[in-house]
Amino acid sequence: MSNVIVDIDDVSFNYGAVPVLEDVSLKIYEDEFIGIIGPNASGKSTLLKLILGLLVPDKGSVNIFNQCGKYLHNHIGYVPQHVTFSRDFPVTVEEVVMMGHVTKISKMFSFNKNEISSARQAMQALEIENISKRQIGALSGGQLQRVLIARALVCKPEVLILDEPTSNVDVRVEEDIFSLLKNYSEHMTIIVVSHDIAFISGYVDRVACLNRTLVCHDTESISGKMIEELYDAPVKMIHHHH
Amino acid sequence: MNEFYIALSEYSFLQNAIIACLLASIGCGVIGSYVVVKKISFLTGGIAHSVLAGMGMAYFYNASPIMGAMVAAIISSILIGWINLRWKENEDVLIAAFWSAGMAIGILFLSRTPGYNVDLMSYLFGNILLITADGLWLMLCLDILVLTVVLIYYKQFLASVFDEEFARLRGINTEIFYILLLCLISITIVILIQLVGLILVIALLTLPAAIANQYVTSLYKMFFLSIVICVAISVSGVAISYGPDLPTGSVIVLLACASYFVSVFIKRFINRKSLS
Repeated sequence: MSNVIVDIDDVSFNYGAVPVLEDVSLKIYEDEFIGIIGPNASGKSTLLKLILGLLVPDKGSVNIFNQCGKYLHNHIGYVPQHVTFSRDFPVTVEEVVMMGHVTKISKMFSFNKNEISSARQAMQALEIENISKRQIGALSGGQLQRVLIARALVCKPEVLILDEPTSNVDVRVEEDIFSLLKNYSEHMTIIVVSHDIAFISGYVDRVACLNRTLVCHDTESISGKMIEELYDAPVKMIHHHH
Repeated sequence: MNEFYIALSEYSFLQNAIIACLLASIGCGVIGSYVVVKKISFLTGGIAHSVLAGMGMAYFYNASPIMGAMVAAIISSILIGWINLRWKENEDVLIAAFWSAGMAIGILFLSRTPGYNVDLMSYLFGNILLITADGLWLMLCLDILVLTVVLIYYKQFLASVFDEEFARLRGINTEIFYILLLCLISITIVILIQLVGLILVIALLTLPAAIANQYVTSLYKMFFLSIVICVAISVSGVAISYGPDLPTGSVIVLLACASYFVSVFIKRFINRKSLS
């Protein structure tokens, strides 16, 4: 663990009068696989949007690669929690994946060889090559999630950010997706938001618990008491060893 | 129908009308596709109706009504777009305000214009049989303008219409592209006003593209299919209305509605068959 990739320093953020984040500090290191967990409305998605530069903190600063938020689009891949597009949008899997390459100065129609081959690699890795010509409305929840991950991976980002990547899929797909991410985490910084601590603690290096304020834990030290503090309610703990 | 074919070879106004259908269909199919996938039919309706303000002023100051329409359409699309980006939660109220204010301003100016203008009815409801050669040239130029912008920025438009947040993360200025899209819509409205009039424009900008959307897997395929559907509907509208001397714009719009409903039923029938 050497370089600091994401440096969140004493950040606070409000939506109007509602405080969402208070004095949050977090350093994320190169090639780290970090999970951010917390109950609903704890500010997880807000924290991601601050990292992505979609929101600006009211107090404190967010630095990525020692720069402020802009011109980083080829370094960060993002997989959103909610898809904002409608499923009857006339676009194929391949076209969605290729959108990961689009910039404001993209050429008119064609994509270059590098762009095409990296899209093919991403689709192979996510096992969606065989459905590349399908319209997105014809996909299952798990397939759509793979397409969105491929779209984020296609520009070969140094940081991959995922917001609840497995909220719409069953357990088997969830396992597939996380073991895939585990492989990628060897040469990529991965930040994943989840509400499912028991599940992600088997994969990530470190867990940041967020409920307006933030506490960090190594995966080994997660205990039932800690979870109860976080969720403010008794939680059943299931031990699982990998 | 035979009577129509004979008339078509004889009268240049009918030939002009058919050329107008072809030219209007190009803008209509391409921009209509964006209106449908972005789900902004009523925003489009609002811009179309606010165009009357520009036409009314043009009449009052004795200028060209179609130029007045153009200026009004561009101004109102920039205003609607800009306010909408900053006041997101009240989009429908904003549309209602622009829709009615535009018409009210238009009617105020018209009421102060001396004399009665027959032309006005043709701008409200369209009169394709009155299209002049100048009108056709204007349509051609506007088509070329719209197509050029859409082709140059195809990828950026696709990305920002499909998933605005992701496009923003890719460094695309989605607000500029949103307002640019509204401007292209307003140009297309001006093209179509000569065909079906400003009140009926919304039908041609949504229904042919909505039919196409049911059968395609890509946006560019949707462009082509909508253009073909639009040509078929508008040319048949001219042909059907010619004999019994019906208002062409209304016939075209009713054909578009009927085609849409038939297409929805056919699609549902196909889906049910493929399920069973």
